Amino acid sequence: MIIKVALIGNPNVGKTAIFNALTGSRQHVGNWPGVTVEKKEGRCTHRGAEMEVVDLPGIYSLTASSIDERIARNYIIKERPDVVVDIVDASNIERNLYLTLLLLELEANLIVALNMMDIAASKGYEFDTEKLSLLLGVPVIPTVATTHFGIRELKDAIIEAASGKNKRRKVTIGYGEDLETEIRRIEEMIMEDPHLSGTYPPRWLAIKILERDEEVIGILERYQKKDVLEVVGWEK
Amino acid sequence: MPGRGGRIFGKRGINELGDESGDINEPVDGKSIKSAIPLGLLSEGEEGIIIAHRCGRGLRRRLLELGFTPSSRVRVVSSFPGLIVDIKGSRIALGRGVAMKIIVSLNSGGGKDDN
Repeated sequence: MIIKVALIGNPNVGKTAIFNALTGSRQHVGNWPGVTVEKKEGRCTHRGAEMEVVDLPGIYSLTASSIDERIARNYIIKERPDVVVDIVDASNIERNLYLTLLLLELEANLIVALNMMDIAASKGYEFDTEKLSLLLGVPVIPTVATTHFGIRELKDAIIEAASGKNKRRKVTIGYGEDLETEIRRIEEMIMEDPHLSGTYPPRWLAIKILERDEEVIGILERYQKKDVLEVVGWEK
Repeated sequence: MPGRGGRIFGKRGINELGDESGDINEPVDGKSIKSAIPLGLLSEGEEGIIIAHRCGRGLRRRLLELGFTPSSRVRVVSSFPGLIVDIKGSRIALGRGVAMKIIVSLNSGGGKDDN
């Protein structure tokens, strides 16, 4: 079995450097954002397991509004990689964790690679990675891609996550009582359609519908979920 | 949908920078309002603290995604022809039109320093 791994993260966090460290390839790594305009693929073997690694474009969020975000998001929704590695710039964690939360909402099989630990350390940052892992409900692996620090641990974590043996709590981001009532109501309507709720995470669909996400509204139209679209006042 | 922010300083005056639809547009503190100006008017090297967005939900959402959250410190790296700003450790290019919709306070101190 080949493990399908997707690398995702903000621009300029070292995704391509992690990709090269994982696959031993020599993809060009630029020190400016936007180097990765289309996805790159590479392979590696670790402890007898073969991995196919895809390097996705750097993005700040997962809305369907720009091409690079759509490429990344559709890859995760449609290709369903076995493991998604979210590369986080440890020296810029506040900005980076926004994407992490969106990936948790998408219910991706997530691992956080806390990269650029050397730069974070030089700024005097210290991390309680165990606590962070507990709060996010996913493994957190500290890395320095340029020196290959943490790469072996990252590969171990990928294999463990792909085996599905990870017993972690599912973290849900709450939106307060008013919104939660609406989210639950829409979620229940979505659950009535087993195919739809089996294809996409129902809570994610409900949240995106409330955000009036164009692509998700398109999905609901294809599934002819008129009742859901009426709830959010969507008219053709 | 509630009214979209139109002019930068609407007829209701400078004390009501926020538009009606969101609480994120609440000024961070009373004092900073005196020196509230659009980000687009800052010159190179100047810093401000974001206090409001004067725009509709679509653009505001995008700005929040890019890190232009209230109380964040933003620095103008280059201001012509468009703006390049440093926010939360990333450099973001903004058109002047968009930059005019981000209201900042010039008061130093008080904002979250992300660098």
